[in-house]
Parts: sequence; C-alpha cells; structure tokens
Amino acid sequence: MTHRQGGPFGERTEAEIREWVRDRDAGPAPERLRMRIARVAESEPAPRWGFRAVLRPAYALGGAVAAAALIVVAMVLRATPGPAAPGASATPSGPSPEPTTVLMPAMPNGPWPRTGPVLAVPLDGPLLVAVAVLALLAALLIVTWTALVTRREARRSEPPHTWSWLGLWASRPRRSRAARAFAVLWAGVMIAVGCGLLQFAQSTPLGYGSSFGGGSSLGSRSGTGGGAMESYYSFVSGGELDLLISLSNQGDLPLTVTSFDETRFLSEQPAGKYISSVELRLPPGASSICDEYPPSGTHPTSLCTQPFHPFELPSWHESGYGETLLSMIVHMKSCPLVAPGPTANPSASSQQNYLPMTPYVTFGELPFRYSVLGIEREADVRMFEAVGIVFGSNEVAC
Amino acid sequence: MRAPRGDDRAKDGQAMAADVAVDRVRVDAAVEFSRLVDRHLDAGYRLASVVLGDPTEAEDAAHDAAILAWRGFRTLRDRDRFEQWFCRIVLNVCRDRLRHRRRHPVTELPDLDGLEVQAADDAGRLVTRDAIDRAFVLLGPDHQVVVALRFYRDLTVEEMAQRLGIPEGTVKSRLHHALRRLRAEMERQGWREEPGDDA
Repeated sequence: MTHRQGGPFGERTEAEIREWVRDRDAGPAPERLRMRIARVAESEPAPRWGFRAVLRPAYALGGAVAAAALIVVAMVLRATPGPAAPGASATPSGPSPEPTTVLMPAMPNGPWPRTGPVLAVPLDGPLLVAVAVLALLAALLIVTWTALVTRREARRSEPPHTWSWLGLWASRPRRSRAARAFAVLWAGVMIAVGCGLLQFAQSTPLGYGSSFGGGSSLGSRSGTGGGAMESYYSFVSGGELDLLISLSNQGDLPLTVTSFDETRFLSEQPAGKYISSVELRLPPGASSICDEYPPSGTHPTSLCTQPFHPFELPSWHESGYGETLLSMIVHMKSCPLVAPGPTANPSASSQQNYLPMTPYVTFGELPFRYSVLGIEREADVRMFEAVGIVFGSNEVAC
Repeated sequence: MRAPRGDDRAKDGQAMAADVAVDRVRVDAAVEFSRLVDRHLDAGYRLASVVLGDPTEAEDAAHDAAILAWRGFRTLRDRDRFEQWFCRIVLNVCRDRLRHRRRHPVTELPDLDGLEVQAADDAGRLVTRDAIDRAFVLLGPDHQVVVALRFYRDLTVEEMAQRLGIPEGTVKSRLHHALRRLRAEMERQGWREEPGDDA
C-alpha cells in the first residue's frame, strides 16, 4: 500500500500529477504584463459599486433621487381619478342655495368631483406587505453584510480572532457604517412621510356623521344597549320610512362612497326581514355634498332628490367635518298579518323617553362600500341613532 | 475687487496644504502598491498559469487581479500580508474565469507533435498525463483551484485556507472530493494505476 494517508492516489501517480501541475507553471511574469500593471496605479480608481456605495453621501443622494422617481411612477400607476357624477359637470352649476343654518364651513370652490390623480402612494394589501418585507430584508442585508465583513476582518487580523456577535457590535467602523445605512433608510422614509407620499388607506375610515332625521317618529330613547340612542317608528305594511342620515369621512384623504350593500343590510340587521328594499338619495346639484344641518321640519325626501351614485367625500380638514346628508327611504314589506304600529299624534312632539309597549325590531348599521386611493373597502357604519320599527301586536310573523 | 485678507490667505494656504497632503497620500499609496505588486507579481502570475493552464489567460487574470487589488488597496491594513491577499484575489479571478470557461467551452486541437515525442519517451506516463489533462478540466472551478494549490506548492491545508479565504474544513472537504473525482474521471478515461502503485 503506497497511498498517502487519505489520498486516493499512489505515490507515483501523485508525483505524476505534481509534475503535470508544475509543467503548467509559465515561469516569471513577462515584461509586457509588468508594463500593463504599472499603468494600473496611475489610472483613477473606479468607484466601487455595491453596498458600500450606498453609504457614500453622493450615492445615497442618487439612491434617494431614484427612490423618489420610483415613488412618482408608483403614484402615477396607482392613482385613480375620482368618480364623476353621472350628468354632473366638473364645476357646480348655478348658485348654491343660501343656507338657513350654517354650522360648518362651506365647501371649497373649484372642480368637483376631483378627477386628477391623488398625489400619494397607497399602502395597502400586497404593497403594504411588500414594503414591510423589503424593510425586513434590508435590515437582514445590513446585518449579514456587517457580519460577513467583520468575520473576514477577524480572520485576517494578526493574530487571527474568532468571530463572534459580541465582537461584531464592538467593532466601531462596522457599527458606524451600519448605523449610517440605517440613518439613510430612516431619513428616506421620514422624507417620504413628511411629503405625504405614503398614505395608509386604513387610516381613512367612513363613519357616521353628526345629524339624523326622519319623519314623524313615536319617540326616542337613550341608554339602550351600549348606551346608544334609538328612534322608534311605526310599522306600516307596504309603507315606507323616510330617514335622513349622514356620512362622514374621518380620515385625511378623500374617499369615494361607491355603493350601499343592500343584501347585507337586509340579511344582517334584525329589522331586515320586515324590509323589502332600501333607497338612498342624494342632495341635488353637481355637488353631492351637503354639509349643513337641514332646516328644522324639512322632509328628507324634499332635501335629497337625486338618485344615489358614487360620490366623493372630502377629508375632514378639507371641508369642515367632511360630511354629507343622504335621504334613506326604507320600503317595508307587505305583511297583512302584522298589525301596524301605534300612530303618533301629528301635533304632538316626539317623546324623549319613549318605551315601546309592543315588540319592535331595529337596524343600526349601514353597510357601505367605498374606495380610498383606488383601494376598495367596506364599512359597517354605525348610525348615530338606531331605528326601531314598532309593531302593533305581539304577532309579528310576516 | 476685494483684496484678500490675512485670514483668507491663511484659509487658502490650509486648503492647499490639505490638497498637497491628499496628493502625497495618493502618490505614496501608488508607489507602495507598485512596489508590492512588482515584488509579488511573479508568484501571482505563476499561480494563475498553473490554475488556468494557459499563459495568455494567466496574464489577463493577473492584470485583472492587479486592478482589483489597487481598488481595494486602501482596505488592506496589514501591508505585510500583501502576498496572501494578492494571491487570494488572483485565485478568485481564476475561479471566475474557470466558471466562465465551463459556461463557454472551447475545444482545443490536440498537440500531435508533442504526443509523438512523449509517446516515444514513455507510453505509460503519456497515458497518465493525458488522463490527468482530460480529467482535470472536468473538475469544478473550486476543485481545480485546490488541486492546483495542493500539488503546485505542496501547501498545507492551513496555508491553502489562508490563501483561499475559506475555513480549513472546507479546504479538506474540497480537496478530498476533488481528488476522488479526479481519480474517477481518470479511470473513466481508461487510466489504471500501475500495479505497484495502487492499493
């Protein structure tokens, strides 16, 4: 046995391989190579691209500019125009009626609904996940890079050191570079946030406004379940209930109310099985926004005459509280077996602490669909006052 | 036009002094780099020629390595370790070139004159060297590099690890698998170890 310890070849073959390898040795470097290399140091060193380049201010600035360009491209791609009302012009037509009771600032003048792109990048859904993942990857990249460089240095040092995490963070140059990289990232994000370029659709919720009205009610009561208020109306088989509701945009961005989910309303509300359909109407005119309280005694259907269509609701800081009124006409089912509810005395005022003596059903949440920055969302808008429909007897099977 | 004041002149002087200092540092670095690379160029070039097996390509590899070394010269703190550092760069460049060669293989015509001379010399030796020749190029770039280092300078595992910048365990593993693969490929070429030399 003539093999070297652990080697697969015998001594003679190893010697042959050694000779074969050494035969490949081309000898000293030729003079032309020395001349080529002599010019290397004379030439300007090229910039070192890669991760270190990010840490240099000039490259960091270039990266920030590139990132800004990407954000602008993203804005153009993701921004969606506001919906135009059918048959409406871009500007309000005709003088707006004089308000009788102005409680909130008037709407801003100018084109309405707005049709230009929204200057913001919506962060939602996959994009939000992508941003979060990218941030995590960036942090991991920095840590890995720092670890690799430090490990290489530790091995190269004289005497060689064993690499460790403790040693990594004790290493001042690496730590300062990593800190600088984080600072560049952080500053970039802060600039983007400061310029309002990053917006979260989640932070623009649709809520209920501050006004509620309806036809002649039996009365109202507070302190019901959860401290909410309830207004009571009589059940009339095949009749209708006229209400005035309000919606408000409680966020910083304009939102577009696109539709009312009648199916969900009828199936999820206790009163749904006594209601055949719900009709929504908007105030007339090019502007769908009505940021006033209705004059006392105004009937809802006379105030809002236009069929429902998608409309834009400005943010609260753009126009008072970013509210609008809607007329809500609730069509009740024909239930001949159900006795109609008690009749209110037309001349009597609404009772403040009315307690129905007969069964009643309520609805208090309005499922609306809306979009923010082109992202579709749904909201169950909880009404300021729930509506109770009072029956005339205990027999309420419809 | 405003006449330069004393403090302006002082600032100008400081700026000029700083420029001169920067230039001097740069010139010093260039001189030192030239001196060091000139001293160790032979070793790098020979190493490249052994790994690549082609003097012309070895020239290009050494040139590329010199450029990379100059760009990263400021990061080399211990100038006494220039040779190891430069050899590591040379080996990395060679490895990249071997990878590129595997992706873009070039078929070389056999040197028939050399075969005749060597065939007259020793037929068995010719078969062995031919088998090595054919088997070596079938190894992966990392394996070619460790085999070349192992037989060219008879480096220890520790020295090889320092030159390659990888752990000793990795060197041992690569060398083990490279030699096994080399033998397997040689045997596939029809080579058999002589009876007195094998197990």
